[in-house]
Amino acid sequence: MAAKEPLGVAAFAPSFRERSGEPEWLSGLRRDGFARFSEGGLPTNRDEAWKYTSLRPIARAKYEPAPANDDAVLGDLPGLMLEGSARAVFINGRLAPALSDLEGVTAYVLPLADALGADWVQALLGRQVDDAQVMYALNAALFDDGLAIRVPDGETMPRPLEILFVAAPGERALMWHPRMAIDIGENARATIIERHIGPAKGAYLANHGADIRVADGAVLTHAKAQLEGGEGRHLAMARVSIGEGAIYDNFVLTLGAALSRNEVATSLNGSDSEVRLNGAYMLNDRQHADHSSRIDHLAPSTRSRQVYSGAIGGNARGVFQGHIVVDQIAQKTDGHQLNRALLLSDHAEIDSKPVLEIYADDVKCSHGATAGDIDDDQLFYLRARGIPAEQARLLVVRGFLAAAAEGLGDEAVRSIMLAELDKALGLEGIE
Amino acid sequence: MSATAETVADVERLNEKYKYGFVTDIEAENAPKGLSEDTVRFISAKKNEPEWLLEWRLEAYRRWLEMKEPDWGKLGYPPIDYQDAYYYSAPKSNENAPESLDDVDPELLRTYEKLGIPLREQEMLAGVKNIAVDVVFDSVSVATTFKKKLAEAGVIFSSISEAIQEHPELVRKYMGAVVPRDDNYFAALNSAVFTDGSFVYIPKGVKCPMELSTYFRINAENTGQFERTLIIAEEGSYVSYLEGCTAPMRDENQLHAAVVELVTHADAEIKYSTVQNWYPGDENGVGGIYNFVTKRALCAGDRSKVSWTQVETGSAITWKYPSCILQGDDSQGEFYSVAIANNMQQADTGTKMIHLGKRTRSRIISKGISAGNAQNSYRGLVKMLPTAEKARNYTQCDSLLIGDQCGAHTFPYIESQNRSARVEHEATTSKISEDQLFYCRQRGIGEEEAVALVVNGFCREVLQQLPMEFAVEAQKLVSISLEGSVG
Repeated sequence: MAAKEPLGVAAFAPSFRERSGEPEWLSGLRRDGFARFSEGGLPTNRDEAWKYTSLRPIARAKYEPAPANDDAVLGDLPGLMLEGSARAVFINGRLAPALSDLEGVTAYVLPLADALGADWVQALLGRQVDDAQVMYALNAALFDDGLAIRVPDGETMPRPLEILFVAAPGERALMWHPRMAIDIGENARATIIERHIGPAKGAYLANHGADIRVADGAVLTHAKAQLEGGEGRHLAMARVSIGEGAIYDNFVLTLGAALSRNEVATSLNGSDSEVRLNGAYMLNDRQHADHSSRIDHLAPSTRSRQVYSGAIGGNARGVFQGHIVVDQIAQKTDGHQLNRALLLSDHAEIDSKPVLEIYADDVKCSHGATAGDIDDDQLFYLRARGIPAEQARLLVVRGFLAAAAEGLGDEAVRSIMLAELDKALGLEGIE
Repeated sequence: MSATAETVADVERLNEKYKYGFVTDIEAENAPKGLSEDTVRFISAKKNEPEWLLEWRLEAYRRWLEMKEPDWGKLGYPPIDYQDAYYYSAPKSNENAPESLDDVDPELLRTYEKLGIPLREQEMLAGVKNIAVDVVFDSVSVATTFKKKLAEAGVIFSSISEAIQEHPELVRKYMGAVVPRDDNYFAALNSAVFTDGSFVYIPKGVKCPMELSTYFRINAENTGQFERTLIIAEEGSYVSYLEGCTAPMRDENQLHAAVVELVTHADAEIKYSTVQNWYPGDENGVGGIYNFVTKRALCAGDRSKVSWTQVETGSAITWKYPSCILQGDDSQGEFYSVAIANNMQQADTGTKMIHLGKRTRSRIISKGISAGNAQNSYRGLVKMLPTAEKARNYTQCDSLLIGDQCGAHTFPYIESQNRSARVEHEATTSKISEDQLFYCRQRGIGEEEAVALVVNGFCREVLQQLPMEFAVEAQKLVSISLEGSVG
C-alpha cells in the first residue's frame, strides 16, 4: 500500500519557514512542531481525540498567513468588557500597539517577541506536546506574534487584562496562530479576559495556543468570549499546570465561528490545587463547536469542577469531550464533570464523551451527561405566569446556559459573560 | 512462506494419520495447528456443512485476513499468534487433563466447595479425564424430559451444528443478520472457524415453558473456544436463556472469540443472562482466558424487548459489549452488568444502545469492581438517530475500587440526533465505604465477609435481575472473586 500524504500538510507546508534572529531553542521548537504536524497531518475522525470534529475542511480552505495588518479594514473597536481593564488588541493575529492600552501593566504584559530571551518563556513554550495536540504543534511552528504575561510572586496584576482578537479577513482566506505565555507566580493573582470577534463574511482560521503556569498559591481567572465571524474557524488550545494550593478558574462562552474547538489541558501538579473549567455555548445554522478538556490529577487532595452547557439549534452540532485522569498518587481526589445539552431543532446534534480514568482508590469522581429538548414543565411554569411562549423558551435556555457560569468564582467576570450571552439571546435588560 | 503453504507443510510433517490430507479425512479428530482456508474447509467438512456455509466461512476468513486486531480497548496483552493455536479439536484434547481431582489445583477445588458444587460435577468442570457426562447430574434423563416438553411447545433448542443440518433455512436466514461476518476482527474470526454453540427458535406466541440453559447442554457437548449462538424469538414469544456457569471452567484454550446474535420480532422478549467465570489466571497474571465476545440483539419488531444481564468475574482479558439495535417502535433494550476484576485481570466491557425506532427505551446499569492490580473499564455507546422520536435512555455506571493498585475507567459515548429523545447518563467512582466496612466489622463480621457484603449490596440492582438460582450462586461468586483483595 502506498503511503498517503497526511491530510493538509501540502496546504500548510508553504507557510513554514526558518526565521532568522530567533533563539536556537525556538527554532528547534518550530522545527519539531512542524515535523510533528507533517507526520500525522490535520486530525480527522479517525483520531480518537478528534472523533467528533474533523479538520478536513481546513485542508481544503487554502488559508494564507495573514500579512502584517497595516492595511486591515477595521470598524470601530467595541468598548471594554470589564470596566477598568487594560487591553491588548490583536488584528489578524498580530498585536496592534497603537490600539492597545497597557497602561499600568506594561511591567506584566510584553509582546512575546520581546520576551523570547527569558528563561520562563522558554520553559513554558518548550514543554512536551502530546500526539493528539497536532494543531498546537502547528501553532508552535507558525506563530508570528503573541504575548508574554508574567505576574511575579506575591503580586496582583493591577488591572484585569482584556485581550481582544479582531479578525479582519479580506478577499482571500487568511490564517494566524497567536501564542500566549502566561506565568502567574507564587501567591500571585491575575484576571485575563479574551474576546474574539470577527465579521459575518470572510473566511479565516485562528489557531490559538497558550502555555500557562499557575504557581503555588496563585489564582488565575481566565475567561473567554468567542464571538468569531460566521465563516471563521477557531481552534484554541490552552495547556495549564497548576501548583500547590493554586486555582485555575476558566470559563468559555462560545457563540461564534462556523467551526470551533476549545481545548483545555490542565495538570494539577500540587496538592490542594483546584481547577474549574466551565463553559456555555449556543449554536445555530451549521455551526460546529467542540469543547474538549483534560484534567490530570497528579497530586493528592486535588479538586476539579466542570460544567459545560449548550443549546444547539439549526443544523448545528455540539461536541463535548471531558477526560479526567487520576494518578495513583492522587489520593483524595474530588472530581466532577457535567455536560448538558439542549437540542432545539430537529437537525441539531450533540456528541459527548465524558471519560474517567482512575488509578487511585480513595477518590470521589463522577460525571453526568444529559441531552434532550427543553423541559415542558419549565415552559408551562413561565407561560402560566403570562410570559409569551417564545420569550419563555429564551428564558429557559438562558437559565440552562447560565448555570454553567455558576462555578466561575469572579462575580464581575461572570456578569460580563452572562451579559454577552443575554445580548446573543436578545434578552438584554430583561430581569 | 504463505500461511497456506505453511499449513500444508505442517500437515506433511504430521504422521500418517493425515496421509490422505485432512480436508477429506473426516476421521481425523484434530485440525493441524494454525489457521488457513484449509482449516476452515476442514471444520466445515468435519461438520458436514452445506456449501453455502463453507463459502460464508471462507468469505469471513478472507475478510479477517484484511482486518486489524482492535487496539482501542484499555487492555494490555502480548500479541496473539493465531497460527499457534488449534481451531478444531473434538473431543477436547485430554492429554493434559488431570487423572483425578487429586491432580486439580486445590484453589479451584476450594472455590467449588464454597459454591456448593457436587463432587461429580466438580470433576466435570475441572476437566478430569474420562468422566461420563451422563453420570453428572443424571442429565440424560433430565435432558430427555426437557426435550420432550420443549418439542411439545414447538421450541427448537439444539446445538448450532445440529440446527445447520435440521433447520438450514432458519440458520441461513438469521446467521450474520445481526453481527455481520466482517463486523469486527473477532467476529470475523469466529465466523470463519466457529465450531459449535446453541440455537434457539421460539415460535410465534410461545412462552418457552422453562428457562433454557447452556449449562445443561454444555454437559453433553464441549462447545470450545469459538461458540456461536443464535436465538430467534418470533412474534409474541418469550424466552429466558442462561449462559455459562458459576464455577470456574478449567480450559487450556487461551483465546475465546464468541458471537451471540439475538432477534426479537414484534412483542417478543428475550432475557439473556450470563455468568462468565472462565479461568482468570493466577494472582501473578499467569494463564487465564482471553475472552473476546461480540453479542448483539436486533429488536426488529415493535414492542419487542431484549434484556442482557451479565456477571463477569472470570477471564484474564474481557472484551465484550452486548448491544441492542432498537429498530422496532417502542422496543426496549436493557443492560445490567457486574464486572469484577481482581489480581491481574483486565476487563473492558459495556454496551451499545442504538435507537432507531420511535419511543424506544434503553436502560444501562453497570457496576464495576476493581481490586488487586486489575484494570476495569466500562465502555458504552448510546446513540439516538434522527428517527428515534421520544426515545429515552438512562445510564448509571458505578465503579468501586478496592486497594490502591487497581484502576477503574469509564468511557461513555453519547450521540443524539433527535431533539425529542432524552438521554441521561450518570457515573460515579469511589472507594469501598470505610463506614460500611466498619459497621460490619463492629458486629463481628470478618473483613473478607464484610467486603463481600458491601460489594453484594453495590451490585444488588444487577444481581436481582438474574433468575433466582443463578442469583444465589452469583452472590457467592462475587465474594469468592474478591478473596485476597483486602488485608
